[in-house]
Amino acid sequence: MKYKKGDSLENWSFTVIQDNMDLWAEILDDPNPIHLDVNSVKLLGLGEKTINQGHANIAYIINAINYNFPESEIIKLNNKMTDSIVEGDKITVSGHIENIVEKNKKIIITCQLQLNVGKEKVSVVSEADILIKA
Amino acid sequence: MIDTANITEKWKYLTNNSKNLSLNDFFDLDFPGGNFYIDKEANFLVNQSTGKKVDKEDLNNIILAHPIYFMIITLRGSGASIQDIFDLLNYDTKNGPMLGQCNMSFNYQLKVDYKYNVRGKINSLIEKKSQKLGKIKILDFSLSLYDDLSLKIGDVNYIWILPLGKKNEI
Repeated sequence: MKYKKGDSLENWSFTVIQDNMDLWAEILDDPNPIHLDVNSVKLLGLGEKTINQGHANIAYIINAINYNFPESEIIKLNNKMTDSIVEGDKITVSGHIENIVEKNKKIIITCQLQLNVGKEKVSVVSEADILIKA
Repeated sequence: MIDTANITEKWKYLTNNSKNLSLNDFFDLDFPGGNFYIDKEANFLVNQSTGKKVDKEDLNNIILAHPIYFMIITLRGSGASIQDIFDLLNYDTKNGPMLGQCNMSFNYQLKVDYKYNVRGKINSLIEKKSQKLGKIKILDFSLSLYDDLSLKIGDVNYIWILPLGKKNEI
């Protein structure tokens, strides 16, 4: 098996742009102005830039999993949002293999992942169980 | 069989009277329920907008939907939009509600050009004081996805943080 407990995942990166936040507001039918209007963000004292939808942040985690395990199926994904991602942020998803279980010819890999902006800001902390297809 | 009409009426009643309700009145409240169809073009946009490379020429050969559709479907197909949920709680979205946690379990992968049904309920609504945000409400709700044969496809549990401004009276 090519995977080992403790292995680091290959980092996955993406830059958040306003056009995609506008699209996600439509996809989710979500009128929350913090994703669309800088003035609303400022009025709320939440910073100077529009805030990315949490759902999109979790999609980045999923994309990083698929990038590292292309022939896999996510069977569990727990996510804790710890900080916001804003327009213009370049995010990086990193992680490592926490555990590997082989049972009934199936391999389930548990990964710890986090979504960062730079080294300091951690915006999402996730744990995923991934079924590796034989 | 879920009594959708009765649940919708209950949502209407609670929404119209939410100013006078206690937090416990939302405990165990069923969502009206509904369904959502995954369109292949929309699936392409979801992939593209989150940085996953998908070749548009290959659109007709894509069978599986992006797994983030678990979140999209459960919210869009629950029978209550995000705005409906905030209206139910008499919550002003201008205060900037935030997703706090989202835990998902997947029994099957999602397919494009396929319709899924959604059922779920509000688990709790509590009030807390946050050092960063001041007075907040925390909304906990769960939604499950089924196919047309009532086979459970997966579950999603959401925790939303609702900062309270002066105008909010949940």
